[in-house]
Amino acid sequence: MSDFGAFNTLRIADEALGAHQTWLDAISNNIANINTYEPTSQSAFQAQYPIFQSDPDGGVVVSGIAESDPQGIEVSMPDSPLADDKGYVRAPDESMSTQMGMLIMAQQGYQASVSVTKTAQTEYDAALQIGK
Amino acid sequence: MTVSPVAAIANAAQALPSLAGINTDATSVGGLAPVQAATTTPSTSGTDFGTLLANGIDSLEGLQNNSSNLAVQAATGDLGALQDYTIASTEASTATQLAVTLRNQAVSAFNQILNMPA
Repeated sequence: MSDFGAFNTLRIADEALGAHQTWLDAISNNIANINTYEPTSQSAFQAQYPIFQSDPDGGVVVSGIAESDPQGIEVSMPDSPLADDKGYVRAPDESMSTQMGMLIMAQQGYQASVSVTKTAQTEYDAALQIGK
Repeated sequence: MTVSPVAAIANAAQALPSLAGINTDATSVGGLAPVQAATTTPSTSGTDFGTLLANGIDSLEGLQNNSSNLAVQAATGDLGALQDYTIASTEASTATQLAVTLRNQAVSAFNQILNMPA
């Protein structure tokens, strides 16, 4: 818990911002590596997905990171220097459309938490007006 | 070690006997025996205003220190998450405004008592 209980709304929003920031970081890494191929003798790039868990004190925390299948998807790229005897390489098991969809979700989740902090500030300012 | 302005105010608040004498125990204020109340010593069951103010200012100083540390981290590039600083800064700012408001109210109350017709 925060040492200053009056600002619980801000603390909760801070946790939500942090969690969504982690998600945005993971998505940007996933998109950056969408064209990362590996030879079939190695495991594919694994897309990362943060696991959100509610905080008992209010808020959300990232309790872990789930990763996509290390087998990836074997695709035929005979011209690639990474290709094996049969001309296959390992592509990451993720799709650009899913990652872009999650990017929008993460961004809007982040913006929603920013709205919460702004509302909290307005609320605190209103409370201060009582004493003036 | 220099004394910060905030700590100086806290010390001053505790040193002020007239402020410390103001009791937040509501029953000792609303009594119908003003002469008796003036002659007996004030009840000590409630927390006096000076202590409350000093505790509040201690919390405020913690928030301000936290915000300052994060500001230094932002300047040196060590800040992990931007929102940690902006939120700490908002907390420190709001708490400072609250402390100033309370202080203004306390001074106002003190002045009203001083201006009472003798």
